[in-house]
Amino acid sequence: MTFEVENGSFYYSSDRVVLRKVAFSVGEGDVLAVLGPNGAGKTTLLRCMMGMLPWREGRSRLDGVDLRTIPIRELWQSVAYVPQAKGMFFSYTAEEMVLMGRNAHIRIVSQPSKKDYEAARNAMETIGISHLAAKPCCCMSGGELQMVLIARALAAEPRILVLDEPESNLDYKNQLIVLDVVRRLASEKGICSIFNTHYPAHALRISGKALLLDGRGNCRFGASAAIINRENMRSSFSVDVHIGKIDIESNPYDLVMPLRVV
Amino acid sequence: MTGKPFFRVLAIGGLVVLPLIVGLFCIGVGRYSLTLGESFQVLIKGALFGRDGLDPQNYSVIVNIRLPRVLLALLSGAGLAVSGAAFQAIFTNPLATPDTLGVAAGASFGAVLALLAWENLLWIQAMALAVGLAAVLLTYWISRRKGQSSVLMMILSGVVVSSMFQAFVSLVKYMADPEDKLPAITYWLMGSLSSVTFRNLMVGAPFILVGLAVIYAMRWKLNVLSLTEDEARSMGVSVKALRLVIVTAATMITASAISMCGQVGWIGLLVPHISRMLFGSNNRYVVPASMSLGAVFLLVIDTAARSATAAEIPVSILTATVGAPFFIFLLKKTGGNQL
Repeated sequence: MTFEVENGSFYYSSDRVVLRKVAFSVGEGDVLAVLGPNGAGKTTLLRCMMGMLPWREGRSRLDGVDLRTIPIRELWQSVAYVPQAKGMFFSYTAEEMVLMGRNAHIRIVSQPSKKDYEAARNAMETIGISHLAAKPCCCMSGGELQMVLIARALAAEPRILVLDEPESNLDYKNQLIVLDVVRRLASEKGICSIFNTHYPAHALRISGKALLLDGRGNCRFGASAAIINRENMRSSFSVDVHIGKIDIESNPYDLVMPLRVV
Repeated sequence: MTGKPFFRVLAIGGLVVLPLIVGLFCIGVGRYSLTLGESFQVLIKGALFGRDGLDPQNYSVIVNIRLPRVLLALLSGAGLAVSGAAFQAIFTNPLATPDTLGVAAGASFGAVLALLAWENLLWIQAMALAVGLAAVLLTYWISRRKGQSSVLMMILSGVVVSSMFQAFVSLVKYMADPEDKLPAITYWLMGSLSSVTFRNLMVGAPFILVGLAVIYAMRWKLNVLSLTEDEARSMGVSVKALRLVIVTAATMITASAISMCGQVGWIGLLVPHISRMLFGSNNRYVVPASMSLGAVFLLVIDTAARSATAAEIPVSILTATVGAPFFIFLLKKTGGNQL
């Protein structure tokens, strides 16, 4: 499986280009982190590459096939999207919510089958939230809701998971849980993940590849360790950072510490 | 409703049986009253052997006068409740109903216009559907900014569109012949099921039944459509096409119900919310529950309207006296945000 973006550009009006000639490619088991300052177009990039917004130039390809030519139900059986966990109006239970992820497998006038229920239960079990099944989404904490949304995406049995800032509104513990799930899905099930994040340290922790936007439409793509360095961080975020490694209990940890605004 | 199978069966059975029992009871209520057993006998014998061997007065009251009216109440109640549930889901808006979206006002205008010109029920239906559909699309268009449409924007644009079409209705009334057309229009607008006949029912009922069937068949998809547009798309739904199908079905129901019983408000708000309180938010259950409870609700209201006092009370007055306090309660409890 490969997913690639070729030459992707996007703008609302031609005098303000949001994304210019974005190019990257990921394969089975890859984790790609998308980094960039506020308003640099991280969410726009995700929406464009999944076809929710049209690329003005360039294209996305799944296994070499232009995304626009793939029928939508087929496409969304391979790709699954995890939006930011926001409040919602109708309080479905976690199980009902996760079941919706099966939609691409369910015909238009049909009800979910036993197999769909099973897939939903498996998805919840995979990330350890089976105990939430009967809990209404409106009564959940941010961390629980985020996990439910990940389970919903997994229920589609996708090969690529696209996550929009999955850990940004969560506390320390829930951040680690979410990051760990993304890493585990990649290493154990070969599910490729592409996620937006505000935390370079998170990118170094779980993702082999990184894409850095600079807020002026340009992007850099490569191995996380190579992309996330002092000069690039300075030019993208206008912040001086210290990047280091520390060993704690003989495990190496990456450290990205912001020092000052340039 | 993920509980034990036993309770599920009980609930489903209850929802199927309830409208039948209430219907049987209500058909016997009135100035000329019959017991449950007598009504049942008249209906069964009438259906099996025709009118022979039955008390002609019983037959005439039950079958000719009350039966079409009871059927209309059941059908319109079920239809209006389900169209409310459908609108709420596809617009991700717990306050969306045929009334708040301007569908009801638009359909009324269409119907009144047709009433003025043709007085033919099929034309009234068609005009109500066309203008109702135009009204809801207009509301949706006004409320959309940058591809999003917030709860508040949608309610506000619904208010604007509603009052615009209500003004058009007033204009038609102003121009109508005060001797003959005006009273008919005015009384019809207040909502009444009294003038229904089997012939009317034959024209209007198929629209409601088709609309109900479409929404019932697609009820699970309503869950997916009730998420944000990006989310729904990311699950492989053609959001625009599916929305249009559901909007058309729900508007068809509303327009047809309005052409037969006038502007009966509030059911589309009240009943789906009560269903959600009872059975949870899953539309797989909300839709059938709304169908059953909506049918019972309008039937009880209409029975009260025709038998509580010597003269008939317009139905819309009764639904509003129940509905408005409930709406206030919902607003206070939720701030219009979460249900």
